[in-house]
Amino acid sequence: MKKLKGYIGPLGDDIPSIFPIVFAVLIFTGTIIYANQLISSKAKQLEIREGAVSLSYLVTETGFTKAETLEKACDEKVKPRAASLSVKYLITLKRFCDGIPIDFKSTASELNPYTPETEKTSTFYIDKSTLAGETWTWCSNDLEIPASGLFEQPKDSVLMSFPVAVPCPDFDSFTNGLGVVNVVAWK
Amino acid sequence: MISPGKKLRAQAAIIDALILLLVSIAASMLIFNFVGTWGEDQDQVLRSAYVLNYMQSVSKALYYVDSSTLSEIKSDELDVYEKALTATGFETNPQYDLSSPDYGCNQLKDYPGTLRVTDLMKRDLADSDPEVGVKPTLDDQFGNARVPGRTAVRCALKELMKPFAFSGYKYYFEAILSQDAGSISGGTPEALVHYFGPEITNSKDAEIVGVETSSGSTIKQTNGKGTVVPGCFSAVDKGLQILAVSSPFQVLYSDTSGGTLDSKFIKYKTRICIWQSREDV
Repeated sequence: MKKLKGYIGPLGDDIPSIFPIVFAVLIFTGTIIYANQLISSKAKQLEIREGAVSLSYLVTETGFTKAETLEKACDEKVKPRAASLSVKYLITLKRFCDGIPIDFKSTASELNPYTPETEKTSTFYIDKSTLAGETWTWCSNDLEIPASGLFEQPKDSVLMSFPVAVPCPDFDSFTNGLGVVNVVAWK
Repeated sequence: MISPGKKLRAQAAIIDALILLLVSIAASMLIFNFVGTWGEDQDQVLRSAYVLNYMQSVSKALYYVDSSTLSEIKSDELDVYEKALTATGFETNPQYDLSSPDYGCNQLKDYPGTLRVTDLMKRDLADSDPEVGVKPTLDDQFGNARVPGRTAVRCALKELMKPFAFSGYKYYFEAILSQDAGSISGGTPEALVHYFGPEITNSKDAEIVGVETSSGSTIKQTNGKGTVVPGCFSAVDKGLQILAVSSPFQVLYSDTSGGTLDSKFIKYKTRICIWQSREDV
């Protein structure tokens, strides 16, 4: 009986083909798992963005707002809408009577006219104040928001800012100046 | 004895496995391609919805902000708020300077009380009847009287559009006769109200905005290249992707020249358009 060189046996001959098969299965299943995670992550981001847009329509219905008006809108409209969208939110109203800051950390007057209290111009500064540049009022449905200070921006949150007219130069003035409503949404 | 057929079967197995591997790689590439673009359209729509809501908020805020509260706004040494764009570049011109005590935002302190930005702009547009005479210009004038309507909007938009202006976006604000404003074909370039001097924009692209030729007294009827009317029409003509928001804007025109008071509302609309630009790169 002639024995061919390299012949291992009926199964042994198929052993080399196992490696590409295993490799192919691993690549395919890995891709499916990765794609599933990526789509879930993107879908979550889209839901958050959609939530932020929906909530922003409610707080920018009119071009003028005051602290009481925003608080009423938050209680009556924003809170139920956010519950139906399953998003958490933080909405802050700022009076920027001396101009809108671009960088709340900057001390350059053209980037932030409210020096040296620059931190208080941040969207995430929680303390309420009637001074220009600071947070006039805020509302949220997240119980973990601190009572004061700078709230750390949640991961994967979406921030949208909108201009509104607010009483200026003082919070009880009859004249109106520049202000901003910030809407932050996350899950 | 091993037949040739058995030897071939072993080879067929490895080729089948390699083909499976290739198919698997190709399928993975297709999945990656699909996942990479999944959600892009929805994301784009939501981002556009944000920009449009922002611009609508700007339009609404102009109706409520009192002119006098804008008197402290300065040019911040930015050329587009300080100098006149000419065919050869920016040139110093006090009429363009928002920090100028005579022509800038400072003059708005002379309009105290609840006189809104749009009130001043309406006054600026109310000095002629476009259906019988020439169209008014945005020139800070009511007849021969000084009414800084254009400057009030310029100062307001300089602040209100800051978040987008500092993110590489350019804007242009214009007034245009409405679709149903008499015999003038509304919505077309012919219905555009022209600027006399500074335009309300942060763009310095001469293919979009007009250029100054006579020390602040040029009527900007075409863009700097002389091809199309300046503003949103030029931006579209240049092939830029713009987002625009229009608002109805009625102006009361009164004529007493015949001895009796003859008043009527003229229907304009204001339009803010915004586009991404590489002008500053």
